[in-house]
Amino acid sequence: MLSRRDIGKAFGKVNPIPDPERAATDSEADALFAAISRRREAMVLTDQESRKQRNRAATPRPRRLHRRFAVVAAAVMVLIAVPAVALLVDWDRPPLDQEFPAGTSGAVVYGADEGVGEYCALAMDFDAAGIPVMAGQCGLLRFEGDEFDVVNAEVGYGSIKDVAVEADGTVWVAGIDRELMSMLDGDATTHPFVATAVEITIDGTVWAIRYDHPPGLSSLWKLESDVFVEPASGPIFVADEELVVAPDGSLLMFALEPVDYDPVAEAAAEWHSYVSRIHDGVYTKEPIPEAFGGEYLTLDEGGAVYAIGGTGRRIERGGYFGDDEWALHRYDGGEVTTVVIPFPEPNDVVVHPDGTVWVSSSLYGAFAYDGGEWVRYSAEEGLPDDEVTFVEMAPDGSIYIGTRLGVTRISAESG
Amino acid sequence: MDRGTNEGAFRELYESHHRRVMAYLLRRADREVAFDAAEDVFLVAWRRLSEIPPGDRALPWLYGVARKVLANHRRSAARFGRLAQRVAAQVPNPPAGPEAESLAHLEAEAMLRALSSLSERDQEVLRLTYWEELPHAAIAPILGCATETVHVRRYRAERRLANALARAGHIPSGRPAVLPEAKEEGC
Repeated sequence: MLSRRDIGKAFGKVNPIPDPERAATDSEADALFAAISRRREAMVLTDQESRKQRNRAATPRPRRLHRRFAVVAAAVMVLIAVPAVALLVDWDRPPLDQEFPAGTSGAVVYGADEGVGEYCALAMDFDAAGIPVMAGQCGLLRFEGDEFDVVNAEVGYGSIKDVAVEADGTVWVAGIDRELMSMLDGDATTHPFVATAVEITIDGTVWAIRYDHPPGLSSLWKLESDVFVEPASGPIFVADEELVVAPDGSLLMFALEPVDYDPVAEAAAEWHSYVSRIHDGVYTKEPIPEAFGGEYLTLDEGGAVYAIGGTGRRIERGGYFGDDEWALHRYDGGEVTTVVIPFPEPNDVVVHPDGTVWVSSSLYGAFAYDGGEWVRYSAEEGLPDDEVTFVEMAPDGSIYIGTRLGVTRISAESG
Repeated sequence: MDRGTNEGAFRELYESHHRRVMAYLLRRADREVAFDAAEDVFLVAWRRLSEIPPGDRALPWLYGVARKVLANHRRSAARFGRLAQRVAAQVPNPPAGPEAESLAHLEAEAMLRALSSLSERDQEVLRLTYWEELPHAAIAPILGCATETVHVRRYRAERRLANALARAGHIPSGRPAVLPEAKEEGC
């Protein structure tokens, strides 16, 4: 019936009010304006009354009966208001913490004055010397001393999804809307497909997730002799958000596997998703239950896998049943442990060597989880903005938090 | 501006935009709530008349207010049900027989069910794009985002909608269920 490309068109067809001119009749419009006018007049009167009250020298003390009524009314208001507020606050706000975690020595912010303007921090990687290389709307940036300098402004755009740096300094930039690019010493090369993730394994192989190939899906490709090819052993399709290199040199991703896939109809009877791995050219699936349907992935120093996805629980929402919460799943070769993420829109994850899991949210800052509680770092604690674009860890253990208005480095404790 | 000038400017604002504001509200709420919300929207507009941007930017400004007003009217299953019924009733009848007619209604209902499974933010970027037919530059101030962010969020919302439809078995093509939904509001 519908391919992904047609979703928007189909969605437009279910517009409940396709013609705004028929949203209200003339009499309804007149009645609405009259109602607004009445409330405007009432507003004026209320404002006048408020001014009068403020000018009164003293407020008359209410009589006992009135006070009793006031107490009952207040109780009723509380009974009504508390559930209403509970409905409005639909996630548990973690405690704010003014202190940065143990093992760090404070935070440094790089904003517009340090070369990181709005949406200039969209993706980050580190070169062989551990120097941050960042891509965003300003172009390709490199950290130089105490600020970020523009290396190549032409590659800058707002939908950059990933950046990766090869050992020889070649920088790869992937993002929707433009073809995959690589740059070395200022010379840029364009590769003939759009990629949403790019990664370099320890053996120097460049891997990319080719977006919308086949149409509506994404696939894994690798660079061989300057030409991108599909690996001989690998997933049929992949989720397009994440490629991660494990300490053992293997490449991890979220694989998508169809049952009875019809390439002509671009349809399948069922779909399954797995955390999967390519190691020494061999493709395997991790024994993490597919119900998690993950989106973000990382590993710790010991090679344990951390995946962010759904909880697998089925919750009814408005008559529709589906995963309703995000969860962090950890798999170290034994059991999978799962923690519900108590904030919305996680969009990246890294694990510090001290075991702290850093998860960013595209809306609410970055969160550090030490196995006990989630500690939130937001604009209140000094992040440039609450809209976080990435969280990355430098080779020296520093945590970089990219935001809409700049990037913050939380340094590893160096003494 | 004196009171008379204010009155004239407000009347002109109302005449120019009230139907589109009503359409915006009726696309998201039932009739009773929509009319109540419309009063609130234009009362805010009256109070902040001097802050309303001129020309084409006035309507997105009103949409932004309407969005905040409706945020107080949380989606409920009952409200969704009424909206779904209304939409199903408004899908043009196909020329063929009852089987085709039921399919058209099923698709509309399936689409709205899938929509309701998305976060409010995803729903809003889709509605503003396809129902209000606004360009990204006009959506950005409504959601409080940069234009580029709207682009990315629309892409993700479309993907999630496709996933929801695929999960429910309503589209054989498109992406499977790999993107869980968030449930917050805001840009």
